[in-house]
Amino acid sequence: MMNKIVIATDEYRKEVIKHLTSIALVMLVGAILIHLQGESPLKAFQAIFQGALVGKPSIARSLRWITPCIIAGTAAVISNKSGIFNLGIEGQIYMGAFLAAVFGYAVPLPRLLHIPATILVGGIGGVILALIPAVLRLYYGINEMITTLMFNYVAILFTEYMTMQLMGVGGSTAPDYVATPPMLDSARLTPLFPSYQATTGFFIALILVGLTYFLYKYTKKGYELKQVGENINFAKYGGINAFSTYFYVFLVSAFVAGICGAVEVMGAHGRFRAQFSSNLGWDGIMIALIAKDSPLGMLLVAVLWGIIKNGSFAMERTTSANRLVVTLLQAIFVLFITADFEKILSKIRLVPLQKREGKKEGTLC
Amino acid sequence: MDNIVELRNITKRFANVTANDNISINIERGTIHSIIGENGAGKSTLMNILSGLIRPDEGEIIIDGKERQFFSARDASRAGIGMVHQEFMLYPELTVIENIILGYETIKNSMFLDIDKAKAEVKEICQRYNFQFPLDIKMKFLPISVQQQVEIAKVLYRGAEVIILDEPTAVLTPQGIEGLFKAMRFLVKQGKTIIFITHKMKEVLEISDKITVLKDGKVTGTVKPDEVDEHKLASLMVGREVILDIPKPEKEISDILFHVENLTVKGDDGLEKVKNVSFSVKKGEIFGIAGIANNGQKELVEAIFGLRASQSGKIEFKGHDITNTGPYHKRKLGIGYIPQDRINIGSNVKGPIWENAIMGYHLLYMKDSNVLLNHKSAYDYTNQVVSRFNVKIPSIFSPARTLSGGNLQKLVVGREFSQDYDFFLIEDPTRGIDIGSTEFIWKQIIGYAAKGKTVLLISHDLNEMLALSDRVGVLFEGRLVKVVETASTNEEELGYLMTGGTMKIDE
Amino acid sequence: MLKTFFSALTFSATIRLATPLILTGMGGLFADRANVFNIGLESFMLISAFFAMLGSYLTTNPFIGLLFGMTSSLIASIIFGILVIYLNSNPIVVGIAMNLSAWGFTTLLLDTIFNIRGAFIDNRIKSFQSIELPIIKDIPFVGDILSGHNVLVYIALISVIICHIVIFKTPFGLRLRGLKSNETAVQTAGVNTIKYKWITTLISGIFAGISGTFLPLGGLSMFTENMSAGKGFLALAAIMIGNGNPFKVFIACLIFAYADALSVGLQGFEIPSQIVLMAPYLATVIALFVERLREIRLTTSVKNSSS
Repeated sequence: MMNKIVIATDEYRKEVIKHLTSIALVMLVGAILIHLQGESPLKAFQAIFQGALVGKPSIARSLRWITPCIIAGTAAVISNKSGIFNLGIEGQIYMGAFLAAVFGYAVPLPRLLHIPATILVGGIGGVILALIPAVLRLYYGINEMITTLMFNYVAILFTEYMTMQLMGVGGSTAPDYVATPPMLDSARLTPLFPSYQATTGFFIALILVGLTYFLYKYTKKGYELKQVGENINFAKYGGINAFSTYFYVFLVSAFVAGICGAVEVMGAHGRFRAQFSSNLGWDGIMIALIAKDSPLGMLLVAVLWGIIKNGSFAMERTTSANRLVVTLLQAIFVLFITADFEKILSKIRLVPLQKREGKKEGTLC
Repeated sequence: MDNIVELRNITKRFANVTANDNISINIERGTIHSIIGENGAGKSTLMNILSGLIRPDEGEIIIDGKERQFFSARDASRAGIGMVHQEFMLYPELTVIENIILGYETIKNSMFLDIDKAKAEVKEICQRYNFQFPLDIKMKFLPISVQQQVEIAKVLYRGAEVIILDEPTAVLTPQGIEGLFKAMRFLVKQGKTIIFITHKMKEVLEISDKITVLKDGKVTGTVKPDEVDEHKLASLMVGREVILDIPKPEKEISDILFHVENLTVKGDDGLEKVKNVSFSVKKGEIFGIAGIANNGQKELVEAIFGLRASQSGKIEFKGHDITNTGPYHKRKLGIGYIPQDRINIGSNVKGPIWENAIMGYHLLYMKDSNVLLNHKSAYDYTNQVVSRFNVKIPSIFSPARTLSGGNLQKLVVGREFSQDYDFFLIEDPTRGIDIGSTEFIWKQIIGYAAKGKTVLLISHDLNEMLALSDRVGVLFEGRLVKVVETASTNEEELGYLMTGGTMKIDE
Repeated sequence: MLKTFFSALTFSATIRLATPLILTGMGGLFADRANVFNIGLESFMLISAFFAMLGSYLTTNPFIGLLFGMTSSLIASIIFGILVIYLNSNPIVVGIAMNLSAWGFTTLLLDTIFNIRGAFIDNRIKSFQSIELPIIKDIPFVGDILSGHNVLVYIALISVIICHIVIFKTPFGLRLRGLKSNETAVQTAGVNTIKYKWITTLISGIFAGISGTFLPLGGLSMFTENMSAGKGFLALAAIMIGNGNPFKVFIACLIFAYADALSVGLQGFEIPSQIVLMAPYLATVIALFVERLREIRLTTSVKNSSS
């Protein structure tokens, strides 16, 4: 056991330094940007902190934003860990949200049934959107990144169209104003604090992460998924059926993404409004990238992400800084974190990395 | 003696291997000079040095009497050295003419390709050297023998005086080889010099003006074809001191357990790599498959284990037909596999050691639950494997990439052996391994056979082959040439068979 | 309604709508041939769209806008190159991050500098003027399609020809084609692949810059948030479908743009706008599928002929 801790400290030490350096750099850039906006960086950071963590309403709102971050992040982690790049999470969220909103409004059920049923419907919505990209990838080897990206736009447009159809609204109305009718109470998640928008959805998110963590750490299937993602040749050699694994992973990831959409409408929104998502899918993808696809790490990052996101809204309300500074910084952080720091350092210090001799070593002969 | 190329004291080291050890060769202008040796002898490294792709650690290269330093392939090209690699450096999507001129293009109007001028020059070369190929067809549509002509034309176009052919006959039919030899003689008559790299004795004796034999990175002899015969050559090529002598215990060999019949397997390039091979292995036996690399062993084993499809023939194990079933099925029936590529196939270097140790085991043996992964069970198993097979590790949680080659191999071997399979496919189990681990692994293999397990051993190390196997089958150009009892054969005979010694090969 | 499918108006709109795709596609195919997978072309376009608008706003001269656009996009491509070519980061991660950064950055600047959210319309933003082509404009039907566009459209059309010539008739293009076909072989022929990757990335940056400029300054004279709206991805898909062949990429762009143009033309009729708006994205998926089928058919026939 001691060995385990020693190894852990050694490996993680490098990662922690990398993350701290990146955070520091990003905060520096952020300070500059905020200053250029004519606002005091200190005031802005304070607003973020207060708006996100000080007082019950703030914490409730933070939870409200943490929830979808966790779920979307989970969807991304599931696919990334097995080598599938599901860039269609955003669209799958839309599909899930829409179907859940409609189901929650149109199908009256006792609450005990309605909640899980609505969640299920949302998940299915995500799966439907991912079916074609999954088949194309698995049977024809077509890059799933482009196909899932394309279906994002399809989903956004489709749900917008369907919403307008449902409400009998003509094409001239601005999409932002159209939304499905309010969902029945039996389909709405219980708020954790009165009217502060944080709901039991948070627990659903935690359960999903927990399941994912459990899957990868404690099940045989999770072990196999990890091997398929890290070295598919090794997995095949060991007798694992890689093909069905990929399919499984793709659809589960989409299912979780659909749930994200469902929880959003069942919680904070109460209805599906066209173009409602503020890039939650991309948040999820970036969170997974930063956390290097580790479920627990992702949880931590998602919590921080949600807090910062909430804080950014607060910052915008109370200062003259634009919350998009935060969005920008989040993206820049991803850039920093994925750069190979060791390589940068070696080039600066002119420490020679192992230079490859010649272009082709030639076969053993 | 007019030497166009002189290699003096060329030495090159990689990690802990000396690929070229103080090699000196003189190559006369206008001759066909062959360099022959078995796997790992150092031929490719030497030629990569001569053609500018690698820098030697020590030694000089003298071209036409002047010492030259090559810092790139282009430098060597300018000095008149042209290399036709074993794996063709061709662009399948481009036309023949484009393939030939790429990198050395003729230009008109200071900006555009002058294809017409290039075509004229290439046509002239084709005429002069008797080549025949179309210029405007995409490379991927041409058969291999024509592709090779294009490769040769390419180096001639770049102005090569010395043409290095690296294992050119590996991909040719007998007719193709005849054509190649004709072309070679013609080139030499026109004043070119050819360095012919091969492992096939017959060819070397037929075509060369002079032969240099390499073994373990050193020159063991330079002879003229009329001075030697195949046996003498073979003895220059193979044979090392037997360092290890493992006592083989008495054991019982019983009925046929595994049987391959008329198996034909295609390689990645669509050509048949295993041609109509048949053999049987008895329970308790260690059956070796010997052969120079790339004569079909890889494809044979992959087809047996289910990682590659076979086109015809049958594979039987314990009475079951296992032709073209997958690895899971094979493992379930009791077949394990220690692959040659321990890094890309045999392990997941990104993952921790324990995840590597339980592969396969988790499917078949951890039966207390079909869904859950019992960590305690996994760690216990890993510790067992690690201690029994003497794998030096920091901890079972360290990533597998921190292991040395030898230890990783011991882990892979240990994993497969600890899973109580009845039949082991083993490929090059001790390649690149230190002597202590080699001895250990050899003892394990012999020990398992003594307990009634069966082994199919593919090895490029004749020493290992003879030390471990009860019988050996030699693969040459995809065919099983002969099966011999180890007790009644030796390295020379094996080396001779492996390089196509004059035995009647059934068509 | 069927007339809309074949009307000169639709075709003319097709060319106009295809212009940003074509420009990004031409630049992007160079990088693709150097084995640089750039999913971040979208970010180049968005950044250049904003700065192009800014340039025109500041000087009321669209050509200055073009200059601003090309420069900003070039800088973005340099950043991409440093991260992916020099530091060997995963191009997909970098691309995604840059896309999001570009969106955040441009929207932020829009708000900070102009205090606008959503769409920014101002008289000072001047688009390029329409050009009537002499002689051509009088040809019936064809004239309506080809004449009357602004200079960027004609640059796009001409660039297809130029790129085609460069790829197929120059040594640079030949070596690039070799690189895509067999990167190892081309190194033994003495080609510095790193240099080529850099050059092509910068080329894609410049072209994306021109392309992004078209978005605000090609007639709309405004800038909206996230103006590039996935056009960078469509261009990438066109490059994949066209296999890096300028002419084929051009055709693919036209097909996507045609679907887009129809959405405008058909809006008067019963077909809802969203459904038709989906067309380019669905067309992309279909085109990828068809292209893949073609590849499979071709490889099996080659394998059969060679064995």
